[in-house]
Amino acid sequence: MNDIPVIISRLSESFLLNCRLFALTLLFSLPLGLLIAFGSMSRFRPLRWLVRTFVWIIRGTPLMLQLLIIYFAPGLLDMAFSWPGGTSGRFVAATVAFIINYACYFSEIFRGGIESIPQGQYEAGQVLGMTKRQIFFKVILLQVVKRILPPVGNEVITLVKDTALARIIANKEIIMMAGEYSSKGLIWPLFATGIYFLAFVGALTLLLDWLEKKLSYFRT
Amino acid sequence: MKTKKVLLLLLSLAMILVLVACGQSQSDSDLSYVKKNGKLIIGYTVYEPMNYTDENGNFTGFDTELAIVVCEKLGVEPQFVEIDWNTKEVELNAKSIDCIWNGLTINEERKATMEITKPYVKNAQVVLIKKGTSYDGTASLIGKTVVAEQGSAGEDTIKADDNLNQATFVPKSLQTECLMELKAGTADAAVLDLTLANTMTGEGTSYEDIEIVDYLAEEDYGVAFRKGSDICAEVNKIFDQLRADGTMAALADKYGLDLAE
Repeated sequence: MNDIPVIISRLSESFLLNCRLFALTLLFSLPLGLLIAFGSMSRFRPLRWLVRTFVWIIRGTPLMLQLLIIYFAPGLLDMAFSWPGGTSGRFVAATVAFIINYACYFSEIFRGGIESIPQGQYEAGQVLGMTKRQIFFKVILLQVVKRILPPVGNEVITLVKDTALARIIANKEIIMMAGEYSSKGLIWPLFATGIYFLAFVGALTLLLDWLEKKLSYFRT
Repeated sequence: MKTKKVLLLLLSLAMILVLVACGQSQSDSDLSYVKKNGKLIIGYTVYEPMNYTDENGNFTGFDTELAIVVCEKLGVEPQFVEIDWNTKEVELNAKSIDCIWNGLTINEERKATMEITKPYVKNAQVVLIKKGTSYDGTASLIGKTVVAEQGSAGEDTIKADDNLNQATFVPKSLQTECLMELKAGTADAAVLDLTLANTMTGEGTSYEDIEIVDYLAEEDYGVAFRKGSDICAEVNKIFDQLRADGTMAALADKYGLDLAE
């Protein structure tokens, strides 16, 4: 069990869990974040108030605590709903917690982006006879995407490293796997995990740079 | 416009409802709950020689093998689930596991919150230091830094020892981190489980320069169930049978452990 190739392959295998969690979180939290952003900008006050309170709670408590609450609360409070047993339930619970958490952070970035577009552009769109929907998707959103890319990139990179938190509800991600070796008296696998995160974030940084160049439309 | 507002209000209410879950599930006895599920969900952490994966990739260990035998007698399937040791009591109460079977040290605090079987294996708390450091009984650690896992039997041992409680105690979240502190020289001594200390130090590990110098509190291992669970009594009966027919002694021999009296 202590052969270097075996350890590396087991570490790599467990890093797949980090990658899956990362991909699923991004996939769902970006659209959910946009939805929350609309809620927090709603002209209907109760909804706006509710959404902003929700964002405050999620951003105001540690993700680690949210993971514990989401996974354990159904069982502890004897709710009718419960997570599937075994390891799959733990992964689903972690994914849900991450999606909610990141959607709230993204929503604020989106809100900032949307509110940064001058009111005049909406008025210009109306003068041209465009519908509200057309104005948002054809005029506003394209500029918003461009403006929010750097802050979103920041969150995305944080997310890569945050996936390691999933081990608090015993998801066997790479650091928990490395912990198995340190409990047998072998330290290096734990520090080797840093290489995986570094490589992943390196690739991601290149991708984000490329995206930013790709999105250099509307340049004046 | 009015319908839109009503719709929005309904949406808001729906969001609140999502947050407030309802429903109750009650079961009369824990044993019938487990039997109904057809499986006993066993919480463990990777801990040689109790629960671990061997060279051939088979999940084994003293506790693993013992649990499989006991489950067979109970007429349920064992399902092993890896947990985080810090949240083991929460796991139990949330019913994400049915028992903790992982070399759990029996103490009064744990007996108050969980239903624990009779002792089945004996263990000790040991003092570890870096080779070359002078050690002459726990008195030589007064005023030094001592590490142990937070909430572990090691911490209790430190608090109960007249000399060790005069040392600066630093709690760690994992037993394994304690040895890292010793090696890095940030702590002078660590108090850990004997079984764990045996597997973690010595040849082939990163801790060849760390040695066991003292044996403190003797202690016993038990299996923990939910408070008030009737499975516990059942498992105690099975333990008696397994002791009588020698199954348990054979297992202890295989893994180099001592059975509790």
